[in-house]
Amino acid sequence: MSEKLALEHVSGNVRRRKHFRLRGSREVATWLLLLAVLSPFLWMVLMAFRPAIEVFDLTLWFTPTLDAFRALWQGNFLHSFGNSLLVSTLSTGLSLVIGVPAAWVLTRWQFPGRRYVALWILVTRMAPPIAFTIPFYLAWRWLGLQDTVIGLAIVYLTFTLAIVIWLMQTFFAAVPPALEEAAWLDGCSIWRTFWTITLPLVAPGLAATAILCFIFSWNDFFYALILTRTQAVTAPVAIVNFLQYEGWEWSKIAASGTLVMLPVVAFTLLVRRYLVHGLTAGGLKD
Amino acid sequence: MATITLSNIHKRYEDNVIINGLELTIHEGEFVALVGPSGCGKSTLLRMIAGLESITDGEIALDGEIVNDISPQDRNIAMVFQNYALYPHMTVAENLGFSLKMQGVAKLLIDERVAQVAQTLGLSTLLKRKPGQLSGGQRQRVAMGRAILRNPRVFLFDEPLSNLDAKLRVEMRTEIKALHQRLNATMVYVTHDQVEAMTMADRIVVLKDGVIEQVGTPLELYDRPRNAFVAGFIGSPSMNLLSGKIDRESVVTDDGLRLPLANVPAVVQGQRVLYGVRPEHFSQVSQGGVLAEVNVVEPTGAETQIALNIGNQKAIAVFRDRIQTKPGTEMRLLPDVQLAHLFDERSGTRIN
Amino acid sequence: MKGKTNWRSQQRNAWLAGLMPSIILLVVITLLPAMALVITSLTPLSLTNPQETFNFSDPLINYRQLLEDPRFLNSIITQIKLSLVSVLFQVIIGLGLALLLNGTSAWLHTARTLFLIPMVLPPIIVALIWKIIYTPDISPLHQVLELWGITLNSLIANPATALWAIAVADIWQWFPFTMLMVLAALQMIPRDPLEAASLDGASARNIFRYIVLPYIKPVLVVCALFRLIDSFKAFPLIYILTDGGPGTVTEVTNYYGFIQAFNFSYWGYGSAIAVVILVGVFVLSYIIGKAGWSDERKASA
Repeated sequence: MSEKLALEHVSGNVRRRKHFRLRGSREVATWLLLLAVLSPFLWMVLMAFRPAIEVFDLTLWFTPTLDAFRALWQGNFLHSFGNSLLVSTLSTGLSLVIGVPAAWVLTRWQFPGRRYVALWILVTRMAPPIAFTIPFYLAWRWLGLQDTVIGLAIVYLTFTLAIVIWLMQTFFAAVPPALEEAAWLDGCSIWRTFWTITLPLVAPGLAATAILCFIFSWNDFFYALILTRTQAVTAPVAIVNFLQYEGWEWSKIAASGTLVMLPVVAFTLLVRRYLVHGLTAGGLKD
Repeated sequence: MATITLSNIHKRYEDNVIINGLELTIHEGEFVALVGPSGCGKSTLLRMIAGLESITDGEIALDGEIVNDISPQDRNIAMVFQNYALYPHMTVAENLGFSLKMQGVAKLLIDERVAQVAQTLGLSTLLKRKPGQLSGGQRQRVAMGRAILRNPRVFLFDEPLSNLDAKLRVEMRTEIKALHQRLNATMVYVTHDQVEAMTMADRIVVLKDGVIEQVGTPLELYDRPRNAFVAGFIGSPSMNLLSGKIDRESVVTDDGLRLPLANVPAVVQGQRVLYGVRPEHFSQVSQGGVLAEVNVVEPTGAETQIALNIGNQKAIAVFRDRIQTKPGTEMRLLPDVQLAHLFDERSGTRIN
Repeated sequence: MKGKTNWRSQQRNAWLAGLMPSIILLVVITLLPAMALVITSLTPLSLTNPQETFNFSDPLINYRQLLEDPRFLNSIITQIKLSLVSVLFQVIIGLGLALLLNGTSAWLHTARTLFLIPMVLPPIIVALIWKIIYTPDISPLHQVLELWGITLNSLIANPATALWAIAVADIWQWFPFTMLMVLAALQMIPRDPLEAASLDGASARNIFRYIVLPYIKPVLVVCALFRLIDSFKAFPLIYILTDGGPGTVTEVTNYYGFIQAFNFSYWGYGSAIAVVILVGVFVLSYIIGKAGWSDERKASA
């Protein structure tokens, strides 16, 4: 906070020295830029609320209607929305249960080869989906897990588990080992210490990690496109079906797009602070 | 209360030798201070006693029973950490009672005992607060209270006062000493501050590079240090160690200044030695003695500290009286020959 | 004294218990598929030839074919073009915005959060948004230009502009990444050098050049590397906007792999393409791992 003040102070000084009139110019510029940059996004959201005949009109003045959303309700879209919810929750939950203890162990246990595990996880996070899709496609075909919610959730673990382990490591590293040692001396067993002392202290990190896993699962398109058909189809893929089969109904597309992006945008506001961590997998000095 | 026996302790971490063949016995009810410079292994030793650090070789026994492999949970040892290690998400009361909760003691009983200890330590009004809301001194007391409630065999202290300001440090020192007297507990206290060690301990263990340099009571270490390292470590300001060689019955510095000795030492003429004299063992004389040039005068009110040059070597003298002098003037000092120390320059070991 | 347990083995067992499930799971869902991928890439397996699953008679056949496949080689060039241009502008715009928005007013704080929207939208939504923008009949952009007398033909149907149209959408989507990183780095610049410089009379521009820029340079490099790796995954934009076309002008390597594996069901060939991409990603990840490593070691020391 103080560093920002410093920069602000410096550039503020400069401004005051030379350009009296430009006070607040930064805010105005920001406003305009924001509007310009977000306009494509805002346009789609507007389209969702337009009456069908006016959907492409260039006017900003119209009577908003929920017709497009109602039409979605009647179709198959709700089913796919539910699938998205199910798959995302499932993969988030699984990755947390399995990954959180592992992250803790990696933080505390200095075993040889620790670096390689970390590198492996990083690579997993970075690998292009196509590298996994082909083998999983063939395997699921053989195992009968194609077009199933659980099949997709397992595939999502390839990145959610990696996110959990990588992120939670940095959060656990912030808990001083002395706290756990004190608990041991007090008679607390290893896993009980983990549960009663360590976990409560990383609760915010845990929540942020869960949300990030959810967002990444929710947003996936490629895996869902390849590995689902009709039963387990998720919302992002279902929208595309509007494009191909039901003949480009732009209102519905805009409406479904607005619905699909809502949870994600909402969650992002919650985890803004941890996005840096999650997106770079801790690759930055922190 | 327990006796602690350390036999032939070695500690290696990868290629570093941290502790090298250490033997020590701590008696029941004794307050032992482990002192030494950074990296001497004192904290490692403490943590090995607690079970938080593994032992590469050797045995640690509590009350005669070897505890090398026993978990920290089962050793019945309490430790006060340097940064207190209070559980931040629990209240003071919960922090204090945590160990009892682990033992399965009934809640009512826990509350009772917590209230008791809290009262002794003056924490009664703070029971519902979280550690983050306490001052450094209060946190320190909670850490001690947590240890007391354990009713352990041994108390371990890992530099508990180094994060406190000077005044608080002096207060807490007295409190810890009082605690020791009250409980008559076996306490092992790690510190880098030799004043703490001198004022609190029954015995002091001076460590350097993982080896014990000397073990003894504070006054033993003060009056008869076994080598130059201990001599320079114990006592503040530290003992002056002047380099020179034996010439007949005294020591002559390289500048030709003569330092008197009480007896003829049993060493070869010309041997290089370190002449040790404590700052407070100088007296000012008008003739004779050693010629010194005043560098800086530092009056502290109770005494006057004078930094001097004896020939080319620096020294410090401390006087109880107010000495009026200025930098640059010459002084004649007479060291108390009965209290002078002699160390071999190369090995540092005591000669007289 | 309570039950005498060996503490070292207790600890070790606990750690193994916590770590093993993850390791096992990771092996099963990452190493095994990776191995299967490589194995499949050594066979001519396809939907029409399922019996070829274990035909290793000519293991490098796919790779040889790749080297002579003009469409594949073309896809690599397309990928490089798209990645470099896109990442360059993402970083520049992200940097610029970060500097603009680095202030303390509440409005700037809100703006910083709102600017993240393009990045957190589901990629398919981004693709759809830009589909709307790029389809002349319905695009507000085209309509506005019409009003000003400029008739613009479809950018995505024109081979000369299709790739850059995608690049624009990609830059729009990902500039917030760099912006976020740089903002975080700017917040961590220690205050003292800044104050000292300002006391010494340095202008804002010089302060930026000599103090701020060196500090954020490593961040910019890491950002660029990350985005580069991620750019290999580009899919929804191409799928929705151009389907690799017109022709193969916007067909990047990843997309070509997709077409081979899932349109033509040439699984063996598609696997070989995927392996090539994987190797490239691995190399870049290694570099990033190295760059961020010193901090991990400092943190865990």
